[in-house]
Amino acid sequence: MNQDVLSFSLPPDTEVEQVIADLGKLFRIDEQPEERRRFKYYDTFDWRLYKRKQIMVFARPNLYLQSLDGQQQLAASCAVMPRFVWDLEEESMRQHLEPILEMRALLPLMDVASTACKFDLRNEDLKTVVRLEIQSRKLQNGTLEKEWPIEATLHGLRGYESELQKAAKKLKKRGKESASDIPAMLQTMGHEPLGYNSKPNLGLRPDMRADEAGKQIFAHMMEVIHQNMDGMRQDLDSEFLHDFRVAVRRTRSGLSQIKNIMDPSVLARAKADFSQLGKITNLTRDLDVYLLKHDEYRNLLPEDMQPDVEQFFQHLRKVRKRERTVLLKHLNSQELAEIFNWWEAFLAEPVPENPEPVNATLPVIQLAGKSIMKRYKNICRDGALLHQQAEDQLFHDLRIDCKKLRYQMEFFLSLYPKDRISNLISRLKKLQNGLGDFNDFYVQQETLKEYVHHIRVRSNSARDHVLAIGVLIGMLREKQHNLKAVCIKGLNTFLSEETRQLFTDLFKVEKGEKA
Amino acid sequence: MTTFAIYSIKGGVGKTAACVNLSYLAAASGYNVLVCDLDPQSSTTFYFRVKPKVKSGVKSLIKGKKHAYKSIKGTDFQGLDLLPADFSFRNLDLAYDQADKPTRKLKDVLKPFKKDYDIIFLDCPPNLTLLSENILHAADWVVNPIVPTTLSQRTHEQLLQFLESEGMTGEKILPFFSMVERRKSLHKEVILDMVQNHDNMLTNTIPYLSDIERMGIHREPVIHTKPHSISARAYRALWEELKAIAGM
Repeated sequence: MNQDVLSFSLPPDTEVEQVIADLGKLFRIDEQPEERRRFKYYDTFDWRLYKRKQIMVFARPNLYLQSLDGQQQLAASCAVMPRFVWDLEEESMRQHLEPILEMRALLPLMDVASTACKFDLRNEDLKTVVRLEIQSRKLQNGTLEKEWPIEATLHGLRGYESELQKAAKKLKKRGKESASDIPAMLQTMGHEPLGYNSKPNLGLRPDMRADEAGKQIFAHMMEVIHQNMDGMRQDLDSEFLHDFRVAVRRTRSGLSQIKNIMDPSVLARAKADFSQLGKITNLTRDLDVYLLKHDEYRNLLPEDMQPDVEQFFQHLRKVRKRERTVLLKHLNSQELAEIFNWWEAFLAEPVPENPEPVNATLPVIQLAGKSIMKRYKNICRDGALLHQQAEDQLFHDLRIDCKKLRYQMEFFLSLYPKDRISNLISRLKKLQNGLGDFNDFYVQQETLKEYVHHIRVRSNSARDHVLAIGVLIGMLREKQHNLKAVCIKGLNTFLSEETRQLFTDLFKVEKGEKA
Repeated sequence: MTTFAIYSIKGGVGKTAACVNLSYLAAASGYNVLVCDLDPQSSTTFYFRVKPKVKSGVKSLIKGKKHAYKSIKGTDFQGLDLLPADFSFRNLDLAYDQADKPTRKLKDVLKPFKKDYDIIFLDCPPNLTLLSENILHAADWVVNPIVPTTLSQRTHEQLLQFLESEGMTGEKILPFFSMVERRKSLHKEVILDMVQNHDNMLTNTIPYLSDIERMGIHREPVIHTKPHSISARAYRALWEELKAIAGM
């Protein structure tokens, strides 16, 4: 039943009456009522839909998941545009989008107001043989506005293919064949699709000076921080803060682990400042994380106990409201602006001719190799102590070791052949995920224990609430315990002879070796 | 895919009007609908403003497949397509007689349309021939307009006898009263009589209305021209009853 659709982009000075008159030589033209529609386009900050060549379109009372070339993939009736996937009422669309959007907000990209003049083109029997739509669109994004070129679309009817071609021939004389160009529209509206990359994959050159490479790495982290500031201020979703924190953590890791490339006083100041940046976001991040665990925690409890855990989340929401004000004050503070200013000024300065720090002029490939091998050896050393009955602390130590290695490998990714280093990172990831989850469960238990100690148990509902938290802690303890075996398995794979060899082959720097 | 044949042995009973309006309603309900005009008089084709020409003539209804597909035209209405009638269809009986399964040929030809269409309406010529037999075998339901006169009663008996002789039950026949004039006592009597003697008469009837007669002037379904008229409401009620019986 899907018939041919041909679209043409008409030059701005086209007179629509002329186009109609032209077609009027071949057909009887029957004008239909004009149709005005509004389309609002949405995607997440990190372009999750665009990455899959899709986009969200809201045209009340319907919501569409569309491919970038305009084909409809999914449709749902929807009165109010949902910000998060869990606010989407229509089940099949929600289930489809849950794993894609996760906790990210759908943010407005542009508003398109379309006016369509519609015409039925009829033959001598007054049978409609082709339908014509002449659409003018106005694009808007905030204060940015643009008229989009007029588009003439011919919709063919089954069995009337030659008529469609005749009409197309007339339009070809006036404009060129085009298709709905959403990427071009987004760019016109000031967007840079896929332009957000939180990972530090920069084009470092192996022979670059280590201190120069360091500055480049830190500069990219600052860019990521800036990109997330607005989203944090407006509290659009939890991930802006998360990405900000990761960029701060990477910076702190770089400052500690990429040794002797910077003036010690600069280093000390940067370490202190970034430690501060981390601290101001700690509480909000914790609150976000636990609030996102709402459904998970409920599902861990027996059904009759599930309502008893709600008090915890009510408490979290209350604290979050207060903490928002505090965080906002910090984000808009003079101190923060000063930190950014001095650090960015430092990063923009060219590297000194004769720097004092020992590794400053070392080719970065050498420093990278040494640094990475050291981290790997630490894991080998600490990992050797691990077994099923080992203390929890050893698992935590190992987790820190893995993190350090991971950050190093990601900093210097561009210096190595992509597939070889990606292979090693994915082996590390497998180990890290187990250790991360293990630590996560531990932290959650501690947090809940701490929370419970502050509850005054004076009513039955308070007692029931404490009971529910107690059961929850127990469930988490069990999950943590079950992860030990997983971690050890992951570790054994990571410390295998094969992995050791791959690390050595890729990263080991022989004495006196040049990049 | 459900196939409705709009069939009557007699002509002039409101068969074509029913076909055009019921198929329009089916498409408006959201189904993908194909109307096959099997009547060489091509009235349904005329109502939809399509030329009564099929490139491959009777081949489209013998060989089917791409011959038929190529001839299908989109009507002016969303979800409603038409396989037009051609004057050559007057020879369809002869053509089917030559086929290896003379009474099942049409059923085979319609099978591939399953993937494109939810419902097929067959507009049938008013007679009792080999083509009619094909239609009675091919259709899931035979919607049978009856003008409530004495002669129509006789004709209805003839149809039921014919079905019996062919080993078919009357269960798929859905007779409804068409062109009913409430003021005529004959109509009232015949209706009463037939309802008493046959338990499958449809409840809803189509009155005689000049609106429906004038469809030929507007050349479009009366429901489209006058969506709130009595005729529109009558066809809507009939369609709802058919849908319920067909389990749609």
